[in-house]
Amino acid sequence: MKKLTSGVFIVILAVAVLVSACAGPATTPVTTPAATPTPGITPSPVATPTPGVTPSPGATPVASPRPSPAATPAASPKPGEPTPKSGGHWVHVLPHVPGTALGNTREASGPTVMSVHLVLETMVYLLADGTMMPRLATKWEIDSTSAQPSITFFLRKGVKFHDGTDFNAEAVKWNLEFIREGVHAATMVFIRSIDIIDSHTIKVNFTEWLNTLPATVGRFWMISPTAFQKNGLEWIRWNMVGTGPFTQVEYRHEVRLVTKKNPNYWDPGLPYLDGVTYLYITDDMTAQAALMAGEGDTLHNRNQKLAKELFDAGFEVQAPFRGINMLIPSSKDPAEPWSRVQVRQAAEHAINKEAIGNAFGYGYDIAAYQVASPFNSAFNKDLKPRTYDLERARQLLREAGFPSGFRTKMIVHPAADRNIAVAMKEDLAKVGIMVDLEFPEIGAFTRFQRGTHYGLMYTPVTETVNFQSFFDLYIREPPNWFHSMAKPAGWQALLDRSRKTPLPDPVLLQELSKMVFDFASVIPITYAVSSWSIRKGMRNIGIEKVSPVWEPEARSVWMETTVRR
Amino acid sequence: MITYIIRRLLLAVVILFLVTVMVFFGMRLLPGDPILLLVTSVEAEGLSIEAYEKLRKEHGLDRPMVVQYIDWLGGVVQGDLGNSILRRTPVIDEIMQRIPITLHLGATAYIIGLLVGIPAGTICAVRRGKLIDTIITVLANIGITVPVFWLGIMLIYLFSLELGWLPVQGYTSPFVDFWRSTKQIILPVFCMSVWGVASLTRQTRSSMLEVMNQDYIRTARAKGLTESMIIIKHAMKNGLIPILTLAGMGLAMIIAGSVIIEMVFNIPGIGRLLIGSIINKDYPYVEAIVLIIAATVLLINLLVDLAYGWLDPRIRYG
Repeated sequence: MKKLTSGVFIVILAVAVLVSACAGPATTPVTTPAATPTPGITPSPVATPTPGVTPSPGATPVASPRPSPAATPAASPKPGEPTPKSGGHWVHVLPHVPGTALGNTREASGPTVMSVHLVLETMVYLLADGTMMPRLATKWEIDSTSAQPSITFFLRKGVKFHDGTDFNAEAVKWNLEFIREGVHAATMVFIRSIDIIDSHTIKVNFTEWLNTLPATVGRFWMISPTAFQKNGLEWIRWNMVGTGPFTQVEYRHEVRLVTKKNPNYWDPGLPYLDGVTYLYITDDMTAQAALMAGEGDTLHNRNQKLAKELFDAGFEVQAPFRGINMLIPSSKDPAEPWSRVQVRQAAEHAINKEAIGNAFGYGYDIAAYQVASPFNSAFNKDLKPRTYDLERARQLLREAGFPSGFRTKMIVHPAADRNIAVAMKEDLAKVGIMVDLEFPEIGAFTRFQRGTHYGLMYTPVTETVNFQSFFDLYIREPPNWFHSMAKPAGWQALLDRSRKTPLPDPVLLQELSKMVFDFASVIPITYAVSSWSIRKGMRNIGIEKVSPVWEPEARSVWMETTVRR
Repeated sequence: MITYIIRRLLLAVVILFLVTVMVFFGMRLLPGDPILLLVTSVEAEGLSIEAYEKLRKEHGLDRPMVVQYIDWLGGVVQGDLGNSILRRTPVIDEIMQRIPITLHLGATAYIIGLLVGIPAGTICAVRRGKLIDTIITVLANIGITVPVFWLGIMLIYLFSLELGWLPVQGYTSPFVDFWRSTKQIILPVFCMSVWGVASLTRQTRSSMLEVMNQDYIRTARAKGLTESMIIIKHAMKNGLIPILTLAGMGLAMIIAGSVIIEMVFNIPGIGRLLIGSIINKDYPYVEAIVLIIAATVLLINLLVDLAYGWLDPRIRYG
C-alpha cells in the first residue's frame, strides 16, 4: 500500500508540473512591419511647429502589433465614425499606486500624478509632439527676451471648482504660491512674481527665461483655495477638489479611486462617461486576468509580454513611447575604463540591440541609437548609428588600451527587464568586458541614481516631449542625477544656450543629441513603451496623442458597449 | 500559574524590545533613502538640497538613529506608532483598516483547516491502510508541497477565466455586500487553508495512530465502549497535544502568511501593506506591523502553552 501511495503521489505531482509548464501561450514576436512615425503636425495657436522626424537609419523593421502614434489633438468624430454615446463607468486597471497624498499638490509626485488628472486639471496640456494645448487657459503670450521674461495666461471663463467656487486668476495665483514649498520648489525658484492683470488674466514673471518653464508652470494642478482654507491641509490631502470632468467619490489606498461625472463641467456635453474607477493591481498576472475576466476595461502596464498576450487575446493595444532604456557608464572617474570614449563606443558596438529589442520587446520595443526617440524633435537623423559590430568594438578597445577587455559591474534598475541585463552581459563578454550584475532594490538604486556609481548603470528613463527637460534633468552640470556621468566639453554652455530660446529649438536640441552621441555619455539600448490594453467597445482613449502617456483625455473617452459588473 | 504567566509576559516584553531594535536599525541600515523614493518624479525638475534636507527634518530622519528609536519607543508606549513617511498619516489608521481584512481571510482559512484537517487525519488513523487513508494522505502530501502562489494562479485561470464562476481579485467587506464578499474570498481562503488542512491532517493521523495503540484505548475497547466514544472521549484529547502546537503556529501565521495571497488576489490586507512599506522604505509602517505580528505570535504561544495544561493535567506551570 505504501508503494501504491508513493506511486500515485509521484504521478500526480508529475502531471501537475507538466500542466503548469505547458500553461499559457508561447509567445514569439510577430513579424509585421514596423510602424512609420507620423510627420510633424499643424501648429497650435501659439506653439512653434515641430518638424517631422524619421526613424533611425540603423533600425531594422521590428515586429510590432503597435499602431503608429498619431500626433493630432483629440477631435470631433470624422464622417463615418460612430457618434460618442454618453453613459457607462470606465474601470481602468493600473499597477501605479499613489504613494503620496492626492489633493495636496505640494506633495503629489511619482505614481500619484497618474491618478489625479481625472479630478484636477492644469492650464495647458501637451500633445505627444510637445505642442502646448489650451485647457484651463485658452491662450498665452510669451515674453522671453525682455529683461523680465514672463508668460501671460488668459484663463477660461465660466469654470468652477467642484465646490462651486470660481476658477480665476486669484485661484491660479494662490495655487502657484501654494506649491512654492514641496517637491516642485526647484521650479518655483524661477518665478519672481505673479501679477493678476484681471479676473481671468494672470502674468507669471520669471527671474530668467527657460523654455521649459511655460509647459512646467502651465501644467501644475489646480485645486480649490476655498476648499483648502475651509477644510485644512489634512483634509485636502485625501480629497481632491478641482475643475476636472470627474469628482472624487472614494479613495482607498492600494485599492481604488472612484470618481463620478461632474455635471457642471466647463466643456458642455463632456464627459461622456458616468464615472471612472482606477483599480490598483500591482501583480501583472492578476491585472491581466482581471482585464480578461471583464473586471476592467483598460490596463496600463509596462510589461511588453503581457501587452502582446492581450493583443493576441483580441484586445486593442496602444503602445506610445515613454522613454529609453540606457546604460550609463561611470565616465567621470579617470581610473575607470569607462572614462575613455573608445571604451564606451566599443560597448555600444558590442551590444546587439536589434536582437534584444526583438527578443524581449515582443514587437514593441525598438533598438535605440541616440537618446531621443525618432518621434522627438531632438532626434538627429544625421547621426550614423553605432550598430552591432564586434570587430569594431574590439578595435576600439585596443585603441583605448584594453585589448583583453576588463572586469566591471552593472547595477540594474529594479523595474528593468533582467533578461536584457543578462543579454548585454553575454554580448559584452564576447569582446572581453566581463560584467558582474547587481540587482539592488529600489531604495538602494535611488542612491546610485542620485549619486555616484561604478561600472555601468542600466536604467529606464522617461522621455519628455520637450527634450530640453530631459537634458536639464539627467545630463547637466552640476548633476542632479547620475553624478558619475561625464559630459563632453562645451556641453553645459550649449545646454544653457538651448534652454534660453523662446521655445524649444530643434536645431539646438539635435546638436545636444549629437554631443551626447559623439561622447557616448550614455549608451542607448532600446526605446521602451508604456502599453495600454483596451477592450473592444472602448473609444477615444487616445493615449498616443497626448503626453505624458498615463494621462488620457478621460473627458473624451466613451463606451460603444458597456460591461455589466 | 499566575507566576508562570507573569514570567512569560515579562519575557515577551524583552523579546518585543529585541525585535523592534532589530527591525528599526535593520531598516535604516539598508541602502536606500525614503526621501528620494518619496519625491521621485518623472517630470520633476529636480529636488534641491535644501528641500531634501527640509523633508528629512520633517520626518525626523536627520537625527541620530538612537534618538529616533527612543523617540519612536516613547510614542509606542503611549499608543502612537508614528506617521507614514509617504502618506504622512498615522500608521495605526491604515493598519486598523487592514487587520480585519487579513483576519477575515486568515481566520476563515484557519477554521477550515481545523474543521477539515483534524477529522480527515482522524479518519485516516481509524481507517489506516484503507483506500480512504491513501486518498487523503496523497492529497495532504500534495497540499503540503504545492506552492501557494502557483495554486492561486491556477485557480484564477480555472474558476475566473475559464468558468467565470468567481471574481479574479478584490475584497469587499461582508458587512457591505455579503455575497460579493463571499465570492471574492473563496479562492484566496481556499489557497490559504490548503497548507493548514494538509499539515493538520498529517499531524493528526500520526498523533492519533500513536494514541490508538496505547493500552488505555485497548482497555476502553475491552470495556465495550463504541469506537466513536473511544475516539472522541479518550483518544482525541491525548492526540491533540502535538496538534495544538501546529494549530498554534497556524494561528500565529494568519497575518504573516497572508502576503503572497494578498498580492495574487489583490487584497488590501496587512501583508501587502508590509511588503509595500519595505519596498518604499516607509519605516513607521514596517516597525508597527512587525511589532504587532511579534506581539501576536508571543501571545498565541502563551495561550498554546496554557492550553497544554488544560489538555493534560500532568502538565502544570509553577
